[in-house]
Amino acid sequence: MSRPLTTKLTRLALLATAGLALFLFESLIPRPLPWIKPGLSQIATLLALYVYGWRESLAVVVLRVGLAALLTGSFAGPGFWLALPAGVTAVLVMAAARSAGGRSLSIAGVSMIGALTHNLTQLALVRLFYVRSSEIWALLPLVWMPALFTGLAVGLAAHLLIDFSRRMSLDWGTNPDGVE
Amino acid sequence: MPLISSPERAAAAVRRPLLTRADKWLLGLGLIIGLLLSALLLPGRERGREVLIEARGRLFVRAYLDTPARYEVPGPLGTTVVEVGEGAVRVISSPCPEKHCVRSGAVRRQGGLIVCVPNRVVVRIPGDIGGSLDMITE
Repeated sequence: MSRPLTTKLTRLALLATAGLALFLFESLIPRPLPWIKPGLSQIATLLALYVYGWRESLAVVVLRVGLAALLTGSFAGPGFWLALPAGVTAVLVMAAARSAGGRSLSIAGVSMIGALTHNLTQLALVRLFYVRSSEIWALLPLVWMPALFTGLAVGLAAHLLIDFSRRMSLDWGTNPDGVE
Repeated sequence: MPLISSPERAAAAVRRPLLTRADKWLLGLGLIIGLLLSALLLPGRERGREVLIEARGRLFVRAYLDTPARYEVPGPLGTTVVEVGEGAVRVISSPCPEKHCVRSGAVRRQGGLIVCVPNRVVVRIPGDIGGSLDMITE
C-alpha cells in the first residue's frame, strides 16, 4: 500500500518544482506593467487542487513560494509576505469555488476567481501595510482586468493538462490498487 | 481520512467543456466590473502639483513637481534615488532586486503612485482618486 503514497508524494514534489520553474521563467519575461504577472505557476496549483484536493494544493503553493523566496534571496522579506498570503487565500477561495460551483463551473472559471483573489489580496495588503492612502485604489482596474485574462488562460492550460494526463493514464498515486 | 481524494472529480471536471455557461457569465460579469472600475478610476485625473515621498511608512519629503530636485531616500536595503522635475517624478535607481519601481517610469497625474515594497519607499502624487472607494473599505 505504500506505492500510491510514494507516487503521490513524488507527483506533489514535481508539481511544486514545476510551479517554481514556471515562476522563475516568467520573472525573466519583460512586462509592460511590472506588478502584473501571468501567474503561470498557478497551473501546478490547479493541477494539485483538482487531482488531489485543497490541502495538497496548499502544500504546493507554500513550497513554491518558500523555495522561490529562498532562490531569489527574499525569504521573509516584504515581497514574500505579499506572495504567501495571496497564494494561500487564492487556493482556499478556489477550493471553495470548486465546491460551490459544483458541475457548472469549470477549471477556467475557478482559475479566474483564483487570479482575481490573488491580485486583490495583494493590493489590499499593500493598502494596509505599505501605502496608507487611497491612491492605491487607482490601481484596481489595472489589477482586475489582467487577472481575468491570465486566470482564464491558466485555467484552460490546467484543464488541457489534466485531460492530457488522463488520456495518457498517468498514475497520480490516487488509486490504492494501482489499477486505473 | 482516505488517501484517495477522488480522481473521479478531476476526471469529471475535464469531461466538462473548457468553458461552461457559468464560466462565460463569470467572464462577462468580470469584464463589466473591470470596465466600470476603469471608467470610475482611470479618467479625469488632472496633473498633480505636489509629490509625497515616504520612507518606511513615514513622510520623507513633500516637494513641488515643477521644482527640479533629486532625493536620496533611505530604506532597509539602501538608497532609492528619486528625481522630480518638469511636472513628473520617477525613481532613477533602487537597491531592490526586481526594480519594479524603476521600470514604473515617470508619473505625473493625481493619484500617480510608485511603490518599492522591498525598500519601503512610496512615491505618490496626492489627489482624491478612489476616495469614495476607501470609505467603503474602512
